[in-house]
Amino acid sequence: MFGKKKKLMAAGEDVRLKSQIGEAETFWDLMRRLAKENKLAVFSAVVILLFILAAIFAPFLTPYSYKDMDLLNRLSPPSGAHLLGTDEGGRDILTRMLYGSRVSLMIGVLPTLLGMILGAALGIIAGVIGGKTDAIIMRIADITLGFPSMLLAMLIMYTLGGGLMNVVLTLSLVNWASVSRIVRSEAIRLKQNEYVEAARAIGVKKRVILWRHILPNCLPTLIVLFTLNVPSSILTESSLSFLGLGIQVPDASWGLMVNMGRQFLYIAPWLSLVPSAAIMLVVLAFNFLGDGLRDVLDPHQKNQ
Amino acid sequence: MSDHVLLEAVNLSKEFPLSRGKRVHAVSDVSLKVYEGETLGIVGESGCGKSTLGRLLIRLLSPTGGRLWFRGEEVTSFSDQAFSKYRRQLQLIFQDPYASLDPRMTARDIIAEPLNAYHVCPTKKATTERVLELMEAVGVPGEFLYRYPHQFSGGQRQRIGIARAIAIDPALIVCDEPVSALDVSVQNQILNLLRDLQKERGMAYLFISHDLSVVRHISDRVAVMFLGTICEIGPAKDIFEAPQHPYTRFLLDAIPQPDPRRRDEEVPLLKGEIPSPVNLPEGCLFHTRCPYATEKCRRERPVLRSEAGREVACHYRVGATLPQKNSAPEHV
Amino acid sequence: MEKNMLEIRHLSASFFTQKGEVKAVNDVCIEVPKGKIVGIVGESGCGKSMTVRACMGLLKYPGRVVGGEAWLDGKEILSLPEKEKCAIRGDEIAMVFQDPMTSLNPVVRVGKQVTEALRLHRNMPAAEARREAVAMFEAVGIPEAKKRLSSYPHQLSGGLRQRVMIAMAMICHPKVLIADEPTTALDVTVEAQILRLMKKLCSDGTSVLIISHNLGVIAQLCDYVYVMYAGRIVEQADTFTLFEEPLHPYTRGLLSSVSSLRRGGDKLDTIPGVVPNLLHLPAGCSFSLRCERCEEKCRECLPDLMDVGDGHKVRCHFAGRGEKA
Repeated sequence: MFGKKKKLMAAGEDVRLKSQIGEAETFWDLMRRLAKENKLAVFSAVVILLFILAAIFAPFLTPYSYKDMDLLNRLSPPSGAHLLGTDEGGRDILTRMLYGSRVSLMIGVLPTLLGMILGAALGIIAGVIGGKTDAIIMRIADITLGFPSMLLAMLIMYTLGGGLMNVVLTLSLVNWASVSRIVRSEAIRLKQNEYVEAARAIGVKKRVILWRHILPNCLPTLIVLFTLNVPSSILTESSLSFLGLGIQVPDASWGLMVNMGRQFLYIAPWLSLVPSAAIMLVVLAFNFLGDGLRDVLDPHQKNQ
Repeated sequence: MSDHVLLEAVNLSKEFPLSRGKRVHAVSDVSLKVYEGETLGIVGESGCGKSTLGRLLIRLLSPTGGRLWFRGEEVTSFSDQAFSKYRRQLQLIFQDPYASLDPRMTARDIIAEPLNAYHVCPTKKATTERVLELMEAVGVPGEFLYRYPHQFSGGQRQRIGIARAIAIDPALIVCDEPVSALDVSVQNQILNLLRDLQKERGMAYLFISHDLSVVRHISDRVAVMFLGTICEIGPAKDIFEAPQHPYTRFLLDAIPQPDPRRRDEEVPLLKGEIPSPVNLPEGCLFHTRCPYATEKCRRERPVLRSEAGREVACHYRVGATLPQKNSAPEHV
Repeated sequence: MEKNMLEIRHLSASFFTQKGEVKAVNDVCIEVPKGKIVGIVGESGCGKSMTVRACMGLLKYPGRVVGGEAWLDGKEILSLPEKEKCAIRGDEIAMVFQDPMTSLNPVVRVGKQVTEALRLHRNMPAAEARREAVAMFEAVGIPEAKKRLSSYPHQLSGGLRQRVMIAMAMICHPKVLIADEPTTALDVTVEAQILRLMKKLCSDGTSVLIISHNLGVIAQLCDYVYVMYAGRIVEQADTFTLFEEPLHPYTRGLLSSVSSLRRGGDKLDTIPGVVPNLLHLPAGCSFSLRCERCEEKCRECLPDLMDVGDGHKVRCHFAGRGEKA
């Protein structure tokens, strides 16, 4: 989609050409079209943006501290002072949710993105080159997949220790294998297309074929995978925290909050419900945005 | 058409391995020459190996046997790297104009791909200008430069595929069933275009098709393929008017004629079906379907023998002795 | 004239897409007399497949019948409830599709697929159904019929598979057989065998409606031909008249495209332009954009299907006068 910007420059050098044949679509045209055709995607983008802003400006948005306990106010229901109530340590839930979004957004997006890049690269290479390379990459992926992912995560975390960056790394390593399997089969399907053969007949280098023909056509699959993997990363993080491997109280993450709130589900349901709602909102927003992007990138949807 | 040999294949074979040690004999012992600027038609039924042969000749597939020369230089054992200097001389046009264009690229980028691969134009602007020239040459309006493949009709898509193939002035274009997926009225537009381009630019075509009338129209010489081998090769006029191999005869007779007056003609039909290319029959490959097969045919495989400009792989050249039916319709 | 086994009256069917209504079949009338072979010829997207699918009740979403009737042997079938349509399909009216590979279930033995209709519609016991199937296989020229019943589709060649399809369609002795491009996926030598088989079926009394884009197939097989263009019938006549005296410029264009290819010579005849988008059909004659004789009148109003005698009908303002091809 960024390639199209270059095209405009090419045509833009010549005014005569431009007026005669119209223009290629730029990145901004694409965004404009997204905004026009898919209001839901725009709304989702706004939601995600708000969460990011909230994460950055959390200290300015709330008077409370996310970790200091206030034992007089334990488990108090939503009220004027605590809009979303307090938890078992008397900490303000809204505050913890805002701070938790720092961790959870990072954990949701970053490992998914890293796992995706790694998985897509290896999957495409395996699918297109085939033979031994394929066999080696896929066996490693199989082993990763065959290993219970929680066990794998625990292994990595025990070796490297806790901490946010290690969680990111761990989740990336858990994510890549399934991505690479799916992308590989997609690449194998795509490379049999006649337009790939046409490029080979022209003498286009394999590297360029990968970049220009295989990768862009994998894009819809990658977008779907991304929207599927964001929530699962957020949830895996919470399980890791639960096992004492990820974020620890008094630090906040949504997954951790859901988990900690479980014991009070009957007497103080807001403990779990608030972070769950946040997870749901973000996950839905990513889903809708992904769908919108996929549609807008699909040339079949373009009308001229 | 000149006498210079562009491409020569001797005993070219291609086998694809199957499971349990079996092999598909896609192309067996094919020898032929393609001259500069000519059109060589290849006809045969599905699975006869004609597409595989086309890809072998331009080295998109490597042969499992036989040798290949390009302009007098043997290129059989060339690596992809070594062959790359000839790569741009040999291009391909596909059957399916839907599958052969990347759906995510604009017409400009599709046609520019070969130009970029060989750095033909110094700047982006020059490339775009060149693409516009090519689009004009194949009859696609320039204002469609930034359209995507799905926004074109089948015929226009095929034109874009042709523009991509001629962009780097190849010496030979393999046309693999280029009109089979198109409607009759559009098919003729494309055939006219191919012929005009050949007149202007002088490249040779290897024209692969199952449609005998199309091949007859466009070809100077024709090779008839059956089960991975050539059974007859010669000037198009001779092949169609006086076929000598019995298979060619049956092929010609089987075409349903678009003339209701000729519906009651008793056309001899071939019995049975094509043998499997996994277990080739012994002797002549055609003997299981040939009504004239003798003991010799069952035992001994005939080779292409040249006689008066025609090469025929039949012990008896039976076709020549049979009465004429459909083979010479309203040719004037 | 024999009585009509199938009569399609003013059938219209459309796809309802996001971009609007695509009028794929527009006011189409077709008659199939008893024991005759009737052909529909036209290029891809002209609505020929959609017409027969509509009268079989096999339109897929977002396609829908908008209006019209289809009478099968004196009974209107389009208005029947789905359950009764099912009872008729495969029994009184049957269909053969273009691609015998995708229309047979790859994991079920062909014998089972062929006898299914018998057990469904006739409630026939398995052994008897098998005997029927063997007889039908022999009738359509499948060698070693008994053995073949237990084959899977992939074990058969293309020609045999198409024969199995025809046997499947014919097993209940339907009144009308609809064949949608039955030989397009086949090689010429096999195509010739299948065409001969279809002729034989028809001489046994079945009425056949065949769809093809191949004028050769139509010329060899059909008694009567309908030419479709952009969802409408543009010309209809008995086969001899149509091939010898085509009146609609589109029919002429098609015929000269084919004959110029066979005649040889340098330039082939073509029909200029492309098929119009069914979403934005021209106001007048749908062929006007590609027609050499197009005048003001053609662009403005749609010509009627005019009878020029002997059942020869043409949808053209200039039909009946002007030179004949």
